[in-house]
Amino acid sequence: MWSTLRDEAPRFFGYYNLLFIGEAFLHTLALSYLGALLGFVIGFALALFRHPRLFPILPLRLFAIAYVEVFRRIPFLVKLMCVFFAFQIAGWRGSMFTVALTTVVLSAAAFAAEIVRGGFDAVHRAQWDAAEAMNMGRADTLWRVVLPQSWPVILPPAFGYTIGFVKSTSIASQIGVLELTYVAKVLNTRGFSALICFGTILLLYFAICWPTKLLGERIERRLTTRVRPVAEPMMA
Amino acid sequence: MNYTFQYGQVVQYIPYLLGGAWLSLQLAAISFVAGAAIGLVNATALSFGPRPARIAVRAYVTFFLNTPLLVQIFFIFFVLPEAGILLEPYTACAIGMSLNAGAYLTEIERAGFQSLRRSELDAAQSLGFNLRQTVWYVILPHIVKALYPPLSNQFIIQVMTTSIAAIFAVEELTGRTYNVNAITFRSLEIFSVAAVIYVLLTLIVSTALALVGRRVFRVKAKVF
Amino acid sequence: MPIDRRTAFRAGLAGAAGAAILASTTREAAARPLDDVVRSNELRVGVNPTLPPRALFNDRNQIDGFEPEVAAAIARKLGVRLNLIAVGSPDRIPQVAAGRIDFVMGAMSRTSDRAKVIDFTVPVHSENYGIVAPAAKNLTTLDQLNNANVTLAQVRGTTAIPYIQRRVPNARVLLLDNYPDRNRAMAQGRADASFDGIDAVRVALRPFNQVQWQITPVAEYGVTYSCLGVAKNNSSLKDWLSLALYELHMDGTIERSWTKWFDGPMATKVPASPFF
Repeated sequence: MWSTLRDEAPRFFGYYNLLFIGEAFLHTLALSYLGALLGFVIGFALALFRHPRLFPILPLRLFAIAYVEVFRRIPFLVKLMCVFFAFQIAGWRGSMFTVALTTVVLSAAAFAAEIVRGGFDAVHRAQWDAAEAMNMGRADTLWRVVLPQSWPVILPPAFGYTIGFVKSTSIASQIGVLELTYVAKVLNTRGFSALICFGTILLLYFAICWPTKLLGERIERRLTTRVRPVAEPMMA
Repeated sequence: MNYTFQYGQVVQYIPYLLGGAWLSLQLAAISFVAGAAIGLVNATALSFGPRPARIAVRAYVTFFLNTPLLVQIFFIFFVLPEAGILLEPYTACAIGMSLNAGAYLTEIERAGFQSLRRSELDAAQSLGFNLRQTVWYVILPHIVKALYPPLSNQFIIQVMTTSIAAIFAVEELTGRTYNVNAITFRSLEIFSVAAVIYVLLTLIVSTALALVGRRVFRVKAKVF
Repeated sequence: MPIDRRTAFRAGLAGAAGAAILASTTREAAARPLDDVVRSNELRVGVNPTLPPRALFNDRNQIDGFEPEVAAAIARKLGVRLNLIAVGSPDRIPQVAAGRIDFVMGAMSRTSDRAKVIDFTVPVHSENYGIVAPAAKNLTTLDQLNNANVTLAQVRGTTAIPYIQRRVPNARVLLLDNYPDRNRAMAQGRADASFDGIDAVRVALRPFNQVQWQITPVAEYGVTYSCLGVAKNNSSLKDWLSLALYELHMDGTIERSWTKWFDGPMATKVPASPFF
């Protein structure tokens, strides 16, 4: 096994393969980081809609609750296939990358909404009451009272959440998105050993996730005195 | 949109899909129990083990938490046979999922043990409890209360994670959904039915776990 | 909070209604007739690069193979640019039906079931079926396969599966996602054999040359014909493609390309028929 590895390594790490793997690496990064970022924006809005004090609008609240509950309870692979076929039926001519990105954004929104909600819940009732008593508007309450206290609670889990999506995007290989896992499968089919193909991408995934996790822990240490591991939200 | 949804063709396959959901639950349960055992050993090693054991456990947890489960199973499924270890698809997925869950559960269980405070043990001592009584009346109730909610959460994650096994020819809920899709071509219909089954399945499991937690362990676990 | 509940409720309803209207005015899916393809100066063809040598990733990791070569010849005849789009087995038919690609290749055997969903041109090539197994297993007849101790590795959604269920009901079937996984399953010993198209296996199994393979044609299944799959009722494109294929058969382009990629001539010839 190890001798094959030594024999095929020069050919495996040839110019065209490195180009191919590099492109896939960038796609994995873009898919997960961009998806998590866009999802966070939507999730933030959902958390606002869900909050009884910020948006006392029942239909919006019910929508936000239903959205979060449903999208957190469907496996990524099943969501991906649903989005994929929905795109086809609606006639949107997006690429497979767009399909995967949409899936990441839709799921990320649900998880982000939960993280942000946790941040809002960390602000004591009395603070909300005080803001209301001082006749502060919603935007003011949010901006000057709630958010400054919520960020330290929201930010650390947001890193774990991003790592979760880096890992989930490996499933996008199922619909032929040119990301790391897909490339490993292609190179494996071309005859390179499974060890070198999957071993290489495992290291590359690690190279994305591990620094992200360390950064998250560092920021958490700075924001709070207590050290907790970066928690990852419920996802699959 | 001129697509007409035809759930009629799909309805007849629902019992078949529910059978798959049962398999998903089994796979989730197996990998959860195995993962919890791995986590227990690891958490103990982290607290009381010698330095090499602690380093090994940390390396294991760091590696498995920072790489995708799908690729981990690819490794077990395609690389191990090159070394002469050939596992059935179901076994390969169960092992991959257990090792993966083991890493998460190591973190969860360690946090649970660490939440035990010195003062509680001191209190037990001052009440004249012996070791058995201390474990039974102080340590265990505390750990169960601390661990029950995150463990329930992890079990739900395991249920959803089983869908990855479909990629390895295991015919659990998602695998069976692929099969029905190949027969009927009613793709969105069948996958949306599967999505609904997952939502209901995890809701039922969450509710059941919350009820058990409340009745048996007096833990206030929330469903939502 | 300076917003009273009733106004808020109304605002919410209005928002929901707005979202619903937005969602219902999505662009309609439509296949592109011949004129549109020419006008856009681009022919979009779906190929499955996990099916070497029909389509594959070459040494430079670009899509290449028999089908891309034929597609390129067709695009040249039409005078437009070729855009190859990678499709997988489960989605290739929906992709055409939705108009994301103009036609699909990828071993599209013509079957009456598929013809309910898409239209077919004249055949591009024949598909010949048989049993593939490691020679050591010595599995050469369907009756040998019809045994509970035999595991067949097959690919989901392929035409051979209903036949297997009927003809060799006792065999265990391992349903995999794609052909590379099937080949690996046999090479690694997860399965004993596979009953499927055998035209491509000689080339596709080359990476697994540590195993001695045995390929046995089975005439009983019959021959199927792979065509270009076109969206339903897109007759302007379909008719033109059939004519183009006639010319490519006539001048030997298809047979030449086949011989080059499949490492031998087509097992059952496709005569160039002037009528279709």
